[in-house]
Amino acid sequence: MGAIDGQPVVRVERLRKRFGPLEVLKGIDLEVRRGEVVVVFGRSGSGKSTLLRCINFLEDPTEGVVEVAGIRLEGGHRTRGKREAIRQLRLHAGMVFQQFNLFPHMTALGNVIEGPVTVKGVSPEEARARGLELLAKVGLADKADEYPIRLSGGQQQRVAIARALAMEPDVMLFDEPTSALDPELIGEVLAVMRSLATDLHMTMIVVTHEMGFAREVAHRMCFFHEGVILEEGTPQEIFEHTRFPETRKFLDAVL
Amino acid sequence: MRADAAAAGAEVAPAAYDAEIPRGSLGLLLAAWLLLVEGALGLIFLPIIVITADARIPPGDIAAFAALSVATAVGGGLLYSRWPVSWWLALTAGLGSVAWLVVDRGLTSWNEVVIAGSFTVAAVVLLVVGRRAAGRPEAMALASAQIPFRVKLALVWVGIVFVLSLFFALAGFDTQFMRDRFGYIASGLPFTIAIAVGAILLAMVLALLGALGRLSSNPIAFGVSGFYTSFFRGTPLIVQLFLIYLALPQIGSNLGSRNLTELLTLTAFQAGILGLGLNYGAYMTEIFRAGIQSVGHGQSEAADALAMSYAQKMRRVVLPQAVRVIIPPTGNEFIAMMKDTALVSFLGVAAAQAELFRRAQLAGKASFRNLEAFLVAAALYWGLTTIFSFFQGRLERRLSRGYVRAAAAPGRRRGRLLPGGRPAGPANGAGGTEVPAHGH
Repeated sequence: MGAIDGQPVVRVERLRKRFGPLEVLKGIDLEVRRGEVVVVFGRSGSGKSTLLRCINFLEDPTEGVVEVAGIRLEGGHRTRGKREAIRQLRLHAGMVFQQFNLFPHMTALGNVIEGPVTVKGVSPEEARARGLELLAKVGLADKADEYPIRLSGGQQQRVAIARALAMEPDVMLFDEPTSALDPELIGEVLAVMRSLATDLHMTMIVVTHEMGFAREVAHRMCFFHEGVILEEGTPQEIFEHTRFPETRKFLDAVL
Repeated sequence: MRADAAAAGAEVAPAAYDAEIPRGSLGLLLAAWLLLVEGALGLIFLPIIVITADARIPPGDIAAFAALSVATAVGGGLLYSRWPVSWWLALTAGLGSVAWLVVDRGLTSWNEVVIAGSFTVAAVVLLVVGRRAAGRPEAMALASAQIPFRVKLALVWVGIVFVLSLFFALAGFDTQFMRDRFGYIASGLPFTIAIAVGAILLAMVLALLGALGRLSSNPIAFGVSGFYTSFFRGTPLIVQLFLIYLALPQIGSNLGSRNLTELLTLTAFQAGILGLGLNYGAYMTEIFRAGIQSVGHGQSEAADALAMSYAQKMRRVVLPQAVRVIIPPTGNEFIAMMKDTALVSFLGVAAAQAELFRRAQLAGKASFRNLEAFLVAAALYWGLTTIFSFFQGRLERRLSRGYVRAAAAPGRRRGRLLPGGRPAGPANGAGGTEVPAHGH
């Protein structure tokens, strides 16, 4: 934990998100420092995925402020200037989806180099070399030329992680990365995520129900309940000194 | 008691059923259909002969023709019955027809030779092999089941062509004229194809822009594309063509600008490409829109998360996947468009640049051989669309195969789609697992 240098990479202030009459996020404040791993957990519908999607503006926050790597954006309507700022912000935030969302018409390596080449203008040779490194890191060096359809769910998700890493983000956002996987494939994805945290000291916000992973890897855990962060603390505090009965009830249900 | 009877019935049922095909069934089938078709043809042509009959055909001949037609049709049909006596009826009708054609008509034309020949075949088949199988319709059904569907289909087509040829022959068809003018009419093909190709290219560009507009949250883009599709789908193509060809120059002259008038005065060829392109572009907007929407929302989000711009997202992620859905129906539109190029002929094309249909009109009118000229044109259009339909079908099959393998949602139905070999199941820790479908 010595890698956490105190610099905030992500800062969320008074974040609110409404879908019509439904208020999903009711004022979220969250700060994630460099190298920190934050696990967000809670019942489905409690707003944890929405928070993640608001951080990189896949959803526009209704109110509040999101800051990623020094790029500070207010919620509310999108304007022309803001659209470009959102793009800049996204360059610093890698996202891994529950359903992987790999590009089916590109090989594994093609998926990984797509962002650097198309968005960042990296030369294909350079991106390829870096992409192969990343695929090796997630244990898929031999699958570089396979199309997603020929990969297992666990393999696809690891390619998706490599694709996000290739953009060299300041923070990685994981939106239930193992929820769509069969039990026997979850381990390989979690192992890759664990190595990101311990070897690369990657800043990560992870929405997950994998409490074992959280206990082992997270520096901090946030329990989401009805659109607010009800309880926050180290894994030890959360698991052993649970303060709220709602948290206890949820933990009892998933453990 | 009843149960016993049923049980006994069930036991003997296989023996009672005539599963064996007796020799000669196939021959009987052939004879039956030869007679049926000949009889039916006779009955079809009977009214024509009666109506067009002049003094050269004696009424006795017509009566004999009618009687023989009915007899052959009934005789052939009765071969399907359970009465063995039907064999005698059919044979009599067949031999009677041959006799009449030879003795009374004297086989004066090749038509009569062909017809007499087929009756002879039917009669000979009946004599040689048909006796044994007569009166056993289920045996004929079994024999019929042995003939592949494709063969029967081909025979039906041959029959249709044969009947049509007979009609045309009766109608005093000028095949010499068709041969003479074929080259002239066919030389319109390059113009027809050029109009269709030019218009489909224009239509594809417009359809892409229209689809992006229909999917846009920008009110200008949405409104303009909405107006475009509404107008060009809501008015007749022929009206649009005249607007472009005849009405557009009027705008220039009304504004008193010679340059504008010249600019807006299009040749029929140009107006045809513009009009067809605009019209088909409006229809194809829907095809393109559906194709783009068929690409899952997750793909768009993944591109967004990589900080792609709208243009990058479309070019690199959405359109390459949408194309697989868009190409087959676009091919259909192209085929339809090749036929609609005929409308351009109404714009009064210069004779040297005339497309297919215009040439057929000119050739037909000039010598009052409209039937022949338009049939040549129809045959050429038909050939053209058939050729493209063939390639279209192949393309469609290839794309759908590629689509299923390469562009199915990640993880979906993977186990089944793996092309051969890899064992499904958790044994290898990788293959054959089922992942819930997209939640979007």
